[in-house]
Amino acid sequence: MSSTLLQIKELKVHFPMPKTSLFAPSSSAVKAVDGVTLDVKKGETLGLVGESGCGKSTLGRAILQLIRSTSGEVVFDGVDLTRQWSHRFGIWRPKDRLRRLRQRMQIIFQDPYSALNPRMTIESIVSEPLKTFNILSGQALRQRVQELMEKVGLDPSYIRRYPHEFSGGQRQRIGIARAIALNPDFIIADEPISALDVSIQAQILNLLKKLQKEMGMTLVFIAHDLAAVRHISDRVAVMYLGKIVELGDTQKIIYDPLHPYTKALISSIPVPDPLLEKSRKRTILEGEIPSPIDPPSGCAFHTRCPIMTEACKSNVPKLRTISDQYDHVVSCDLV
Amino acid sequence: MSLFIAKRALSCLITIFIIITASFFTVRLAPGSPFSSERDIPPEVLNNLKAKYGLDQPIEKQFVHYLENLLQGDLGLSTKYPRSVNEIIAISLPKTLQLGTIAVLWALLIGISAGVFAAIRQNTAWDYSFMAIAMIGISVPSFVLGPILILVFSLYLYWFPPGGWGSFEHMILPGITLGTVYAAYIARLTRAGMLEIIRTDFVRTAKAKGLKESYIIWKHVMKGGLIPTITYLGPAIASMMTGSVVVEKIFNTPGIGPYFVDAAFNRDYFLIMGIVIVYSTFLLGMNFLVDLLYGYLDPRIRYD
Repeated sequence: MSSTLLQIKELKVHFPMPKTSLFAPSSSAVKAVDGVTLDVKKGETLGLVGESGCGKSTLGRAILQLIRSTSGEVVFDGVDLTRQWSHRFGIWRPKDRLRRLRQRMQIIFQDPYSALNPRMTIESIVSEPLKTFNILSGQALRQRVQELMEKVGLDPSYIRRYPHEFSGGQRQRIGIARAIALNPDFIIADEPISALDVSIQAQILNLLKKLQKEMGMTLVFIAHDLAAVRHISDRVAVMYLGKIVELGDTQKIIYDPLHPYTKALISSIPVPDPLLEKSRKRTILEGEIPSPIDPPSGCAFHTRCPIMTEACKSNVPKLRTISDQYDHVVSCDLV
Repeated sequence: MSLFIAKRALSCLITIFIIITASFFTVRLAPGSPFSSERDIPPEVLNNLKAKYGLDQPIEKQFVHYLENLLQGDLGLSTKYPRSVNEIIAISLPKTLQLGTIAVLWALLIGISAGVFAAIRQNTAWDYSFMAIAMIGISVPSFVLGPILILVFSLYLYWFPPGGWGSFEHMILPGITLGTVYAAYIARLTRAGMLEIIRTDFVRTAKAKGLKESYIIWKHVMKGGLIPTITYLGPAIASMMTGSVVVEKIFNTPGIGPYFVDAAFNRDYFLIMGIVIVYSTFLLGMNFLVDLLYGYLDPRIRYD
């Protein structure tokens, strides 16, 4: 198949917790991303799925190094992004090389209401990346912004307006216009539709699909349910408590899931046929996702797993390849 | 916009009128008079004095008369000093304004840069030490800071004169003494305001765009992050510009500050009024400017 654009190796993002008491032994940390290894191929769309709080957004930001990761590697087109930081005057700053690489990798944020600077016009929001990297200026810059507006389905005459004058769906289109302004090779869409009305969700999804096809971008699409992801992704990765538990071809994941957690996620998608819906057996997960500060021992999913055995409490399962043909890997010792 | 300015100007005028009325009558209601002293003044002399300042008239008449003069720019005569209130203010206010400008510049320069620097480095040693210094700046009163500065920079280092007036060097130490408290407040306010914006999603968006950090701070964070500081700047600049009794006494600056207290002690009716008018005009004017600045800093604010 096609070559690899992005290699993530044992990536960890731990957020240190403030000490609760003066004499607390050592400060604990929220293990938002806890050892993720993943390859993203050029031109593909990879769906990243998991419950709220499983670390998928953090993983997305860590891939782009918008937050500094604790350990591991993110190799983007041969450059290890995690090394592009320097420590000065008490804080970590991204090196210029990382900043320049942002021309090629972009992100679409979840909340279109807060992700746009309320004090800037749409024109300055969308044109800023182009200006920063001295790609265009003057009349050509304005033309490009108008072009981008059209590309995402907005009236180009709106460029003088401010974000608060737009609806959620329109704002997300602005967010997309901004992200594609530099013709990036790689885009992370971080739950781009979860904050939108259902009627708008499909529009945005189709827009992303169309743009990806036109521009030949590689896309990582983050979502909390499989319903949205199945239509857009070539492959799907399922995350639980900061780790990937299953990864494979979308069809494989949807119709032949192996990990009990993936099975539960699939069974939570309603079937549009009432007779079928009535008769099908659903796996419903009990309880909440455990705390990432102190994750369960052994297999992190054992506290909610329907097929759990004693061994799961102590053995940490490793990602195993099930089928090379479908790139199918799973981290469960019982399947 | 112009409608907003007109409306605000009108409301400022009304406010000033209320301030003038209230202070005029409060001062008169206070016991004592400009001519009460330990020694009794012969009644004929007292009557003459009263007649000279128009104090023999009924109070409503005096008030109307005062307003009439005020409209013509005449603030009346001082009862203590052999000068008109206009003269006193014309001589002393420019000196206070110069001093105030130094203080304002110092407060803004130190306050905003320290606040921004600390906010970018939140929870680092830099942040903690800057905020600790700011806390000291707020806590140390000017009558302590002033003499310390004189001691160090005048008596040991011979850099600046310890007091008096005449050249630019004379303004530095009192300016710094006056501005330091404000600098410290501004640093803390700026830090808090910046932190609020630094955490927002749109700043993350700006980072994702690949913008330079300094540009993000300047273009995305400052505009919103300075709102609390700007709010505080209205009254702060007004107080710095109208001087401080303590600082001007310490450095022996011939500004308007000491007149605040002297006028009240001497029940110098017209001088009190004159200073109150100067101060309140400054305050209202500054707040007016602040309101206009909000609109520049946040396009969502509509003036109507």
